[in-house]
Amino acid sequence: MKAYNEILIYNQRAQNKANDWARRNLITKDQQSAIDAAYAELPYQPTWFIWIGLFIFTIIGIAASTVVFLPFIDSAFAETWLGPLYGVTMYFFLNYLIKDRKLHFSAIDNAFLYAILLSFIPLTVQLADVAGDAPWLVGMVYLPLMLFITYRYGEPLIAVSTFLNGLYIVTTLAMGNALGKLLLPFIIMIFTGISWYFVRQFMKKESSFYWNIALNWLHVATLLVVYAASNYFVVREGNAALNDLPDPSPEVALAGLFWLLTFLVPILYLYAAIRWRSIQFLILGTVFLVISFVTLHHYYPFISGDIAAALLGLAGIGVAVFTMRYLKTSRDGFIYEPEESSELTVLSGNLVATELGSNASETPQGPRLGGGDFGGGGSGT
Amino acid sequence: MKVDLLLDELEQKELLEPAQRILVEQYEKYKPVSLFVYLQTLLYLSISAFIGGIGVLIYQNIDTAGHTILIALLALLTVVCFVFVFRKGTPYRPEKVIQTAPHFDTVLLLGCLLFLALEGYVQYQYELFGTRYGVAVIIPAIYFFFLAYRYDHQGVLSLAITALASWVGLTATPTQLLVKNDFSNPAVIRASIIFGAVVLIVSWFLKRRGIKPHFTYTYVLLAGTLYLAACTGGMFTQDSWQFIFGILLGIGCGYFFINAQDENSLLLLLLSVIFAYTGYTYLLFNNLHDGFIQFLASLYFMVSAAGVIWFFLSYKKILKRL
Repeated sequence: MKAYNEILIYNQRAQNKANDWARRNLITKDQQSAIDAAYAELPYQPTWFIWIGLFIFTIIGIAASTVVFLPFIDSAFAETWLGPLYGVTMYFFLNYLIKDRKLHFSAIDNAFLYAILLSFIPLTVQLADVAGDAPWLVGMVYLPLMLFITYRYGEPLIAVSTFLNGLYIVTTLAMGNALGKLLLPFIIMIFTGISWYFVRQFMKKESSFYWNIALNWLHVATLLVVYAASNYFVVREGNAALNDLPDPSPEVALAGLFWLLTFLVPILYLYAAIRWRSIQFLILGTVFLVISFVTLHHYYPFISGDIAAALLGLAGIGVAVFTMRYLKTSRDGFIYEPEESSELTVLSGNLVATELGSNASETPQGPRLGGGDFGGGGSGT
Repeated sequence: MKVDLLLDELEQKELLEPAQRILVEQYEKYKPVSLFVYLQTLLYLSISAFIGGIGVLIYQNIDTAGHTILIALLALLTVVCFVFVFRKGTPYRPEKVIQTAPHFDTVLLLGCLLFLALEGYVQYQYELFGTRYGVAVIIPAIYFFFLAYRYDHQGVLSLAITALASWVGLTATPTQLLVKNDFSNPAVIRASIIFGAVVLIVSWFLKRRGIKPHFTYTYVLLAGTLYLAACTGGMFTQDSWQFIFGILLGIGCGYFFINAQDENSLLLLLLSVIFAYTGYTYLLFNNLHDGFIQFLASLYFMVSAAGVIWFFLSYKKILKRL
């Protein structure tokens, strides 16, 4: 059932590990070469920039290939069945390519998978229409195909889309009645929390190896949704939008609880980061904590945004420099050690500098009028 | 993947000795998580927030005591940054130099950013350079070029290039390149092409002389992309000149391609392929008869996309052969 050759993926991991060990002088160079030779056959993995090029041109090729359908485009049959027909053709061609070119998330196969899924949308919508007009039906009809593709290929973006489709079904079902609408944030949190738990449990098992990347993405996606569902801004503005309430949005019930969650969730993530030595939790926790402060500032602007940005920046600089020094040697399972310079680091250095430079050199436009007001400029969010 | 299983396997195949296995196992169990990228990102985002906030603050409450103190503090901080840089920097060498002082690169960049903010402020408040705005822009450009070469900093070099571009009236910041430059305006196109060509020729000359050869990447990336975008814009908007622009674009793409090999850069390769493909396709379809186009279009895209994909799949062999 699995589309990719697991041995190739396994070989790649083995070589990566050996490379890491050799870099730490745990094994000799000769041993590394011996391991590389024993696990020689690898999937085709382009670097990032080539990946982007391959992706763009595969999409162009897929779109242009629809030309073979041109003669049939006007028939009634075409509207429903051309898409799936093309999808099935692509499906077989893709499986051939994966075998022949040893692809594994090498842009070409990713593009094909997205195209296959999209090609079934017209049929799905029509099928759902026959079954009734509830919004969750479309998601429900589409779900089996998504689950099948996720299982067979383990493509990360499709795995996340499948999860989001599940979330969509639950959400639209809940919104069908008044109680569900009221409890919506909690329903989302519970559904996502359960998904997160299963993802995490499954990740610990050896048998999850084939879906490793997809599971990592799902892990991030669920943590993101849990925070979003508990964030005060999302809950309050979402509530107003769902119930067509006038602007400015009114206060929500249990406001205190949501304020608590807005700050508690990021702090829990940061705790998890230290506890489980997880960089994922660390990044999410940091980003969400900043967003939480911005949320607080949005409703209670106790200082001006520019002062807040400058202070937050100053605090960030302090924390970063302190932590860099603190982690010079490994502590608590974390370390700060320079990584090898690659094209990506040089590139990001250039991009960051020019971006900051255009920020710094901005001066007020127009005539001087004794201290104009142009708030909000670059409030680091 | 459970490492134990792999280790078992390696031991069985006698690729790993038992004593080593224990060491590797220990390492895998206790290996620390590297926060390098995380902390670097945090640092730069914080600097961005700080500069962004300060950049607006210095224009507020002008002529109050608090304001004067703030400006004085910033000026002091700028001086401190540069004193640190001048004192701790390793001596100049034409090849790549890695600074040994901690946080050297960051302090240098911060100093440059503060310098930009303060210079803008002084010009705004005291009109130091009057209406000679060009002088106000060229001073940081010259100063940054000096710093970039003296202390080997590609970030500061890219600041210098964008400052030089804005002296000519262009925006070379990659994220704003297509938004802020009006590539339908013949004057902008002309300026971009000349600017790009001059900068690229000078950088090529410097590289030939062995002066900071690794800087070529930044030059090609910033000035070169401006040049290619301008050629493409010219082709799209000025019909009578499209073949001239096509040739210029071709030369540019060729130069990118050569540099992609020299610098071992796949981004430059990607850019060269995308611009060349866009230009060639446009020229082809713009000059064919309408009826013919519809018939050919899909076929052309199908075949050419397959061709490009093939190129990307086998570029290593191609580059080796060249």
